[in-house]
Amino acid sequence: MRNIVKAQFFQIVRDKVIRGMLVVALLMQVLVVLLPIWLDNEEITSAGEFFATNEGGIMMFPMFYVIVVTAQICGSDFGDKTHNYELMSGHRRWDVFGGRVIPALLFGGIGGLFLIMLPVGIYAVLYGWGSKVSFGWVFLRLILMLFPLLRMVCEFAFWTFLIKNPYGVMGFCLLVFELSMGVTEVLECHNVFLSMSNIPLLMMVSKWVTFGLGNDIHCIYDASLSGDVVWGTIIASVAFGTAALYLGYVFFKNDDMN
Amino acid sequence: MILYDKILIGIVVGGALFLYILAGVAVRVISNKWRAVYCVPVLAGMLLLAMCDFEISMLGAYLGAVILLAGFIKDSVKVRRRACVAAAVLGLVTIPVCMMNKGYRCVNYVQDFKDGVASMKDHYILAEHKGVDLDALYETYLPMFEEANRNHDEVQNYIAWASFTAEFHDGHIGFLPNEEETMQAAYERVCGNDYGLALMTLEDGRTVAVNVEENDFFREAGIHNGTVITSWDGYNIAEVAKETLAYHMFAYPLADKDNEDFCRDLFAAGVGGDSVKITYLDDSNVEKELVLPKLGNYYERLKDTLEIINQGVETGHMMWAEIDEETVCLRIKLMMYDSETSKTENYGSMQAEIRAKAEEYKAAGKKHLILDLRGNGGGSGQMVKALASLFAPKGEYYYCTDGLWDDKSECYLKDATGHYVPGKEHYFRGENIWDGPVTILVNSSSISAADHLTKVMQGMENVTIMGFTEPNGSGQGVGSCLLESGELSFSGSLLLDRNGDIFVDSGVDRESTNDIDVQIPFDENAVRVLFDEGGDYVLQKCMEYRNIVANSACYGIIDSTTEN
Repeated sequence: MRNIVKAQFFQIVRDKVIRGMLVVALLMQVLVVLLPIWLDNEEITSAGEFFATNEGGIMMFPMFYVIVVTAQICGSDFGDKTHNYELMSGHRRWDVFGGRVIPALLFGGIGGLFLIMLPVGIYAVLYGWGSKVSFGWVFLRLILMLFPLLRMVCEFAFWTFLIKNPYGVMGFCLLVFELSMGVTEVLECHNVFLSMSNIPLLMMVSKWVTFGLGNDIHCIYDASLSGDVVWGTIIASVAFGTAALYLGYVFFKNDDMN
Repeated sequence: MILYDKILIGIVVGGALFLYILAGVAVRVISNKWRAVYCVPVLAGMLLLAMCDFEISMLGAYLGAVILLAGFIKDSVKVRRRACVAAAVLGLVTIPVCMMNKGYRCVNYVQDFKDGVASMKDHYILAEHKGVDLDALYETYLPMFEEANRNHDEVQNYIAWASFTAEFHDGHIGFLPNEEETMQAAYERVCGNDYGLALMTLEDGRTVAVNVEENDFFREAGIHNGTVITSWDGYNIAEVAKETLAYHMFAYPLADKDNEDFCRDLFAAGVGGDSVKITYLDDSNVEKELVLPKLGNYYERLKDTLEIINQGVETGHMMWAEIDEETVCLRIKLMMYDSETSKTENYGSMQAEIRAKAEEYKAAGKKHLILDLRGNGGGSGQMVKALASLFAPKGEYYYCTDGLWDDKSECYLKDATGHYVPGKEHYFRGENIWDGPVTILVNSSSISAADHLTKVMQGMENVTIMGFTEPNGSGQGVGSCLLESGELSFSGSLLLDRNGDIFVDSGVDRESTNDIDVQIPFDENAVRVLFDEGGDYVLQKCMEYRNIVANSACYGIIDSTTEN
């Protein structure tokens, strides 16, 4: 498996689609920070408040990145039958499967987390963290995001092994992702652990607004997480991620045998 | 059963039947991708579950969806068909399980109560001012919520919330359940039985029948609107009223004690079993007894009675109504105008419209203006400012002071004595667009921003404030917290007087600082006009008062009114 993983790394760093997506995602994440500053739309205060008030903007492009990277890593070799050659040269099916999923988990999970952290980091450098939102809790939230990100990689990997076409997977997963986000928003999703991922829950900081008679509005943020959310995130991510990988592997194994 | 659960069961059962047939057909298909259809029920289940939360009674359907995955994993017709049969059976069994389970889709009311109280502990600003111990109240009301939880009874949950929130004597505290019908059902449950009449206390302390059912039974007994009732089912009426849950739920949210006393006896008229024995004074002042049979639920009569007492001039919000040759009324049902005006112009276009209308009426010979705030549920402080500045005599007027916010501790700052520290003061400039007298009509349902307008216009030389009672007496800014079973709102933004006292809201003494100039007594005439003639007694007294004042140019000489 190690050789397949090495070969995948070699391929990933030279893959134009992944490079392109990474550049676009990085640019967009920087723009997420700069656009409000340029347009002067929002009162710039601190990185803590930026995290607490920009959940939608921060997470959108990292999600796209995870979809594209997973589809490309797990699916690009279906076109030239690389899998078949690897099997014929004596690699086990699990190695062929794992040799793609592991790099996808590394690049997708860690890359996605980096992209989510990037705008918050830039904001912290520019304006400081501020006192309104607890850094410790936000840091815990960011670290916890790794779990749902890995779960998403597993889910997208399952679809990739099923559809076998990276561009088809990208289109399908983007559609499903957008739909699930839309449904979650419109229908006030309750059980977020069971939806595609619970990243939105980790991005959401509870707020309390007080106001004066003029326009003096004060927002109190509570970034703390209950034990239920922390354990729910970890358990749901591990359980659903494992199930998706298992189903993906079962399909890949049977499909190849047929 | 909720729609999402029905859909899921449909997908599992229907999907199982479809996949059962497919299992036989698919073995002849070369491509392997068709197997993905065995994942569809579980994916649909995940999506539906995400939308409507986990429900233990639905476990069969969830398991059924998961079992169908066997068709994806195992390439065997036998396994697939067995999985389909098992899933269909589990899906079908789920239907009676859900229907028989009383706890199906029930919210955890105790957890909701805990969350609500926790939010109040963090953000409710009047706890000390009102002398409320949230921990003690939590302990007192927890059994009510536990009982609602045990019975899976959302109506009981609402009654518990209404009873809890009433303890604060703050009109801004309230619980709005997810379903409006829950409130109706709760009121019906606590209001008791209808015996064909409601009760009100006259200014001299006597209790009289009002809103009496028109039938031969009462006619023959000589009971009509205004008949004095001396006892109810053998009890003292005031005492029996105070013991009813309805009294706590309806009357306690009235911040000012006088408002609560005004409608107290109304709640006694629902107390009793299949019949009640009352004693009353007939028209010749002889005390008699009568047994009243139960006619139905008292809620409708109680609601109808309150509507009659609290009525306003019958016209639309921000509409003008000509009362007589010299008087015109602007009806203000809410302190809200169109959203565009409030956002972009700070009520400039509303002011322009009122100015133009006022000029028109002045040109037509109108001299007296009534601002009818009865039943005004509040809204924007900016609109209060805009309205007050139009009608106030020329000059600068103080409105109120924001509490001083401390960014570090994220709360309103208090001094060493525990009093809130005043922040920014707010003023407005009077334009005096109406040269003649202005009368403001209020009642106990004039709340929040309506309380503000009454408060800021108090004492202005051209303004008289009138009503049966004072306004509600709740003037702070409102915040809300979303719970599973509804929305809890309470005072969360601080407004103070110039000297740092709480703006408008009553404290432990339950006396709000919002007084009226002329209190219209609720007497026999009021009962006759309101319940026999269907008239607007408050408006009639307002006109009488104005005519007398205009003729005598002297305040405070009316027989039937008491000036504060």
